[in-house]
Amino acid sequence: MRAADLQVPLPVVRRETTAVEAGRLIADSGLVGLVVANRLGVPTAIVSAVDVLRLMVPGYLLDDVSLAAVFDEAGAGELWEHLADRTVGDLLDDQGVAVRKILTIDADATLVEMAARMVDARTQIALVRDSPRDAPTFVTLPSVINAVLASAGGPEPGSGPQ
Amino acid sequence: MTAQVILALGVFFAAYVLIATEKVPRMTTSLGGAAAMVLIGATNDAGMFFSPESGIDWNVIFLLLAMMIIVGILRQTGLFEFLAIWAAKRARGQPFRIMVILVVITAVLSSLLDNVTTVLLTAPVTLLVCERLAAPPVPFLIAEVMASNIGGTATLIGDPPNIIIASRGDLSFNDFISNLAPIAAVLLVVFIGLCRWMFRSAFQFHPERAARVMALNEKEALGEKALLIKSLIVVGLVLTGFIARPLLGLAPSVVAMLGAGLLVLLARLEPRKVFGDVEWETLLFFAGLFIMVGSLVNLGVIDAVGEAAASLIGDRHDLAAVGMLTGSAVVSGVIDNIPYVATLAPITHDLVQAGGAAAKPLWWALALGADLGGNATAVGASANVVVIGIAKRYDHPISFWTFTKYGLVVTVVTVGLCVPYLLLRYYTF
Repeated sequence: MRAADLQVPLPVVRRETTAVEAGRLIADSGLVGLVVANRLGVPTAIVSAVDVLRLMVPGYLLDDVSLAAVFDEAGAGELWEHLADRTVGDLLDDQGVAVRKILTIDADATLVEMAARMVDARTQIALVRDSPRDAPTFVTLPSVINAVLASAGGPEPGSGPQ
Repeated sequence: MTAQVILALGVFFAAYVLIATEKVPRMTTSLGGAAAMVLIGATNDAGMFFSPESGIDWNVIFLLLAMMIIVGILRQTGLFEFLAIWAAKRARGQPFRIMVILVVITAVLSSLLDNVTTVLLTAPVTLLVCERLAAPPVPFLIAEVMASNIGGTATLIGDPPNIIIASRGDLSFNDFISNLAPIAAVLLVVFIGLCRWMFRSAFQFHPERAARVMALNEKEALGEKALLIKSLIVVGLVLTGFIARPLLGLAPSVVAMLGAGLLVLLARLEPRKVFGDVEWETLLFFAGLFIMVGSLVNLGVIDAVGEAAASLIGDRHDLAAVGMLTGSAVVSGVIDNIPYVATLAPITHDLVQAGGAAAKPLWWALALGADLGGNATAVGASANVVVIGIAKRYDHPISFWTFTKYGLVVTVVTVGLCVPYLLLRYYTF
């Protein structure tokens, strides 16, 4: 199994992408992270899905999590009103977020190399080197884990504990 | 003046400039300065680690460490958040009343905790309350950080400079309570009046917004009740230990370490939570600072400055106290008050030794000037820098001059009130 066998296109977001748009991408596709591109459209960074969720929660509640419990249902609902104002750029500028530079792997990288490099970089998504600039392709963490399990003779997809 | 003294002074002033300008992390500067002092032969291992006169003041380091551990556990309880929201609800959502209550809570907390910790605890809940009220958070944040600098003046453990002063001056917790707490209380009342005037445009009351504050459930902020009870018992024991020093004979650092150890045993939290609030960089900054100042003590620089100051003062200790107060306020307004007090403490010690009882109020003048001077500018105290950072992070930037225009007013008024306090209490009757 090589990286080229697992590569897939993924949606790419930019600094200007709002929290609503980024959240929608994750909620609809079940992605574990998002690829962030620079002004030229070149993928440069990865933000995890939980960091996108961070973008949606008021920062003072992250500084003091115990405050999150004091809202009633109506009050909590009002907190989401500011979502349209937040962008992926806010996330990239937030020093509390570990924005990861995108990992690039060769198309002929073996499964073990992909796995080792992704763990080393603690990233959920890797860019496949030399993939078309206008349609970059990526290897994702679920597909790598799936391939590792298949190689190890593990259970088929969907046959895990219910 | 020998070449060694010139070199040591060069290192010392270079470190001061770097600390003031924050070009380099202050811990790096202080440890680098300490290393330079060793290299030029101004101190050695015995001088750094074992000398009470010129070494690291372990009482200060361990008192800070212990209080950081205790606060780190206490903040897991949600007590501060509970108190702040409970108080905001008692104020019925009236913005000025809420500011008064938050200012008082911050000042009282700050008399027991380090100022930076206090504002880190109060800032998030302040942002929450202001968001509910649709009130501008900047006046509230500025008022709180200034209240923390005023409240921190009141006790031995309220502000790191006080801890240094207590250790170098052999002053007890009760000494601080009887000499500084009364004036700190007066200053707080005056400060609240200033807040009413300075931030008058921030107090618009909207009943529908007040209802959003009233809908908050403060009890939900409280964590595990058992931990809260254990923490409060230990904090009570530690405070009792501070007050009962004449009976127990235990230094505040020992009392605090015993309390921290007991709380760690009782809390049974994972190490990440127990030690998460320990600011190792701050502790190392203090260690390096003590080594640098101790090097000047070893070389006789501090004694020479002390003797020169003593001969200049003569028996006019009243003027010296006023000079110490105002001079400290001015210097602390522009540089970190911790290195300033670390440097002035041995000099003040010499002055008090030379002047006897009449010179003892110099300690209080130093504490009041250094602590209150921190309000003068945006960079006057670490807590100011922290709050400005928090405000910027949440899109409510506080510019240097916005802070400083309020800070100068507050500093002039509070330090101005300390002048008659010192003169009337210690030199008139």
